[in-house]
Amino acid sequence: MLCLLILFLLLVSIVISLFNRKIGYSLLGIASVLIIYQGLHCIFLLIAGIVWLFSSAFSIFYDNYGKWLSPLFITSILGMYIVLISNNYLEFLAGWEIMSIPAYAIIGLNKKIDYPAFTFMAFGELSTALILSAFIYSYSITDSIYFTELSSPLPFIISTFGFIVKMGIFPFLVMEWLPITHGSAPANLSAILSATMTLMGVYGIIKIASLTQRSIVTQDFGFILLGMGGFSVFFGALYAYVSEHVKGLLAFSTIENNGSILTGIGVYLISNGILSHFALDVTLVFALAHSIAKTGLFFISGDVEGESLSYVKIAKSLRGKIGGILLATSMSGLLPNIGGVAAWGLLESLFMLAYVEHSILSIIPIISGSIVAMGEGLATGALIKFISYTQIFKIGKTEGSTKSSIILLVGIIILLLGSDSYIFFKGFTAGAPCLGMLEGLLIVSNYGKPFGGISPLYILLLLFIISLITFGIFGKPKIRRSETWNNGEKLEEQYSSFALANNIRMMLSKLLRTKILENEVVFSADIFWEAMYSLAKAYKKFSRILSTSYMNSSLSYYIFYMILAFIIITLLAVII
Amino acid sequence: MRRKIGKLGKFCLYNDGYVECEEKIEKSAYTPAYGSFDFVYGPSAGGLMESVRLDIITFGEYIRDVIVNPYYKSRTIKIKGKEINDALLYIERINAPFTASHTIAFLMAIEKALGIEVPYELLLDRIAEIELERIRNNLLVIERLTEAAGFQVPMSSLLWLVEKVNRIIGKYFGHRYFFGVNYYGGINVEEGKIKDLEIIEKEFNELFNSLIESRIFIDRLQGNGIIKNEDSIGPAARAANLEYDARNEEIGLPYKDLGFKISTYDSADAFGRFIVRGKEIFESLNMLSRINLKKIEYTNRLAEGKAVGRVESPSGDLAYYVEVNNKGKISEIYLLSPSSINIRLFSKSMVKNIFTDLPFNWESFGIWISEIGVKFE
Repeated sequence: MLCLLILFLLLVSIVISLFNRKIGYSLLGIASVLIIYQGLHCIFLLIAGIVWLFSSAFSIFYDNYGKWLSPLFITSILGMYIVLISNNYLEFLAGWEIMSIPAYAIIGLNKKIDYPAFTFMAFGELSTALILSAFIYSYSITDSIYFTELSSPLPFIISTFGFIVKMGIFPFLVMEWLPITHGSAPANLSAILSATMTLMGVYGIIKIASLTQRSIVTQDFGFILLGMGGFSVFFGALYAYVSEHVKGLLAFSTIENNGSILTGIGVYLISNGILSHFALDVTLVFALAHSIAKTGLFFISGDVEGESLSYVKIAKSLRGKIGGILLATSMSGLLPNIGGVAAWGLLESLFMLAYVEHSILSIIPIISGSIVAMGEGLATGALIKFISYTQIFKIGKTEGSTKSSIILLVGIIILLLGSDSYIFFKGFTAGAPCLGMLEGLLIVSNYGKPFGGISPLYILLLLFIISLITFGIFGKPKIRRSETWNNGEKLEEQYSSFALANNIRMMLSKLLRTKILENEVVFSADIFWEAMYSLAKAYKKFSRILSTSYMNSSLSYYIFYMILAFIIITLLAVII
Repeated sequence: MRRKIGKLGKFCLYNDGYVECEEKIEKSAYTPAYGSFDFVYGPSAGGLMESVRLDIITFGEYIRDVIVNPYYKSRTIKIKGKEINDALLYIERINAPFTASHTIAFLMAIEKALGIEVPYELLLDRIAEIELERIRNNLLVIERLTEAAGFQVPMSSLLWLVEKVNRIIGKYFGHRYFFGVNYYGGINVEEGKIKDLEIIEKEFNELFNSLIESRIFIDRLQGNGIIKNEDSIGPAARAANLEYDARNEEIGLPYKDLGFKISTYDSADAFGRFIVRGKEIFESLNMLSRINLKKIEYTNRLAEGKAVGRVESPSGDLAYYVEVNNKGKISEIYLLSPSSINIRLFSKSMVKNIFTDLPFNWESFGIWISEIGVKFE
């Protein structure tokens, strides 16, 4: 009943937004509140609901993109909601397409150049084709269009690749960053593309995995996911760090986060029992942390003028600054934010897996863990750069705005979710009376035996209490302000964002394929885009050769093909 | 081969003479590229001995261009209309560490302009001055390099050697910076052979060899600030295997009689300039051991004339163009300082280097800002 009400509200808001987008977004907000309520028993609905609620609120103040953005935006959300509530393959696929096509239309309508929208659609349809084939195979083995248990791991493996495309995981990274960066999608669309559309991929993998019987094949496939995840974490973070595009950096950061999520799924598939359960919890918490924080960060990207980090302008706002710092620290994997809990949990899962395996295979999670840790470090650098250049260094003209209040609110939620993250780890909480920790306030990583533990609430409380004690003893900090000494010269240009990351460009010039062009511009090639471009060119060349040699409009050739086909069919008929 | 040295007022100075030429202002080819910014170092910052502003155009680490502005230490010196010996008081204070080079170049221009035959012994005294100045300066440059590397022990040892050289100069010439030593008509000097030079040679030899063996130290110099340019002068040219040295050319000082040998290296980088300076210290000590200082005077003349005086200062060619009127007063004067050329070479050599290379490369050229922003009136 609640589902029908939400669907009705979403449909009404689509229609109304054609005439009045503010009312349309408001109705979307109401529907999102209901989705959050519904999501109290389903974390994916909870995550999506929170993202959509904030996106609708932000869009009310943000959307000045004409009349098409709002209905298409809400339609895409409708598609995602259908995906989440579907209980059969057909509904799922219908939702999948309803989600993708309006997003393509928005990118196409707001395009700067043509290819990002086409690339998005091409990869979107590749994803659909893979998922469709997996579903057809599932139907053929279960004889049902409803989600039922699958005896073969094949549908899971094929559909996972389909979902991975949507998540922008290696080698499909361009799916994620290209439309956001080069297509310059509106900030609210970027938020849902990056936060919830990729979340649908995570949902899809976990959904089909939950239907699939565990076997040695799924376990081996888990190792493949570990590898792909680790690679995506490292390269996503590295390219985020060197990215100069406000949204591009965030898009690459999403790839890094989705890599971490995929790594978590890998552990979930490889391990058994308690560890598998813990890894699943961590994966879901990671998805929650990423989706909400990334939404807030995309709101910041929508609040700035300009696309290049070195030259952006933003209105000065303390609220935006605090919110932004909270979001960035969460994305950097720092406690007590929810992102910190997720990053801790992922590393714990990987190292527990290595311990449990206790064989030569243990090296795989250890390497993955190291790569994830390195990626987290680079991601921290990237987010410090993002927040510094969008919120801290630049001074704008006005004080505060409603949009920055929303950013602050999202930031506070990230902090509160972190300190209350015990609710996501049922069965993994304990206490430490000797340390004064009450029962249930310690999250314990566990593979059958306790491995490690953290208490985000205690970290928050300690931060608060220590600050209060310091304040009580020393009073208000004495701040002495002085003119900045710049060698006796008037202050001139600021240290650019490009310069901040240039040390990495120089150090990893072989890896990033950094070149110094004739006009002395330093340029790091995007190897993923170059690989895709080369592949497309190779395919085009192959097609041309095929068309000129095989389908060459020569009548004699066609007669020859027909005779050949006739002979083959006759032979097959005789043999069969 | 005719070699252009640099601009001397309205003239272009060549190794074999000078001709009137147009001012050719070399503009920086810099165009702001995306992400680049201007990092200002100086004019008053740690690590700099004098006031100078370096606009480092960079993308972060990688340096695109360096624009040096030496005019924070500008001075207008009234010399025109002054008598020669009065003018010398100003000339010797243009750049104290290079006083001998400045005053000798100035006096050589005067003497050439007035057609005075300078006694041979006095010329040898002047060689002794310049070579002592070279030893002191090269020791100081090497000390600055070790300071940039944070090498406290060799740094202090080199400073002690500089002090020893200063004491020798003070003992034989009456002033540690050669003030009041040279004058039109003679020289103030303590006669005899210069003693204690072998101690400096021994101690420096030990230090120099230790520094060459230090991988950490030479790593900072090798490949840093490579410049192989036909317009180079001084140690910068000789480090690039270009045998440019005013001492080897006919400039009026009898270097060849002392068996002078040119010191070169082929790496064209800061390391090459370090090696050349080290080798030159030994060569200077060798020449000094053959000189017997004598107090000589010559008869002044009152006449009209104009000429160029040129010496090989520790950092390269240093020249004065002087016109004297028939009352024995200066009517025109131009200066070509080695630092003005070395700044240009430094800027070119910094392109594509990184931040941390900068102090080593800067010091390796032995630039003195004080002699650049000078205007004569």
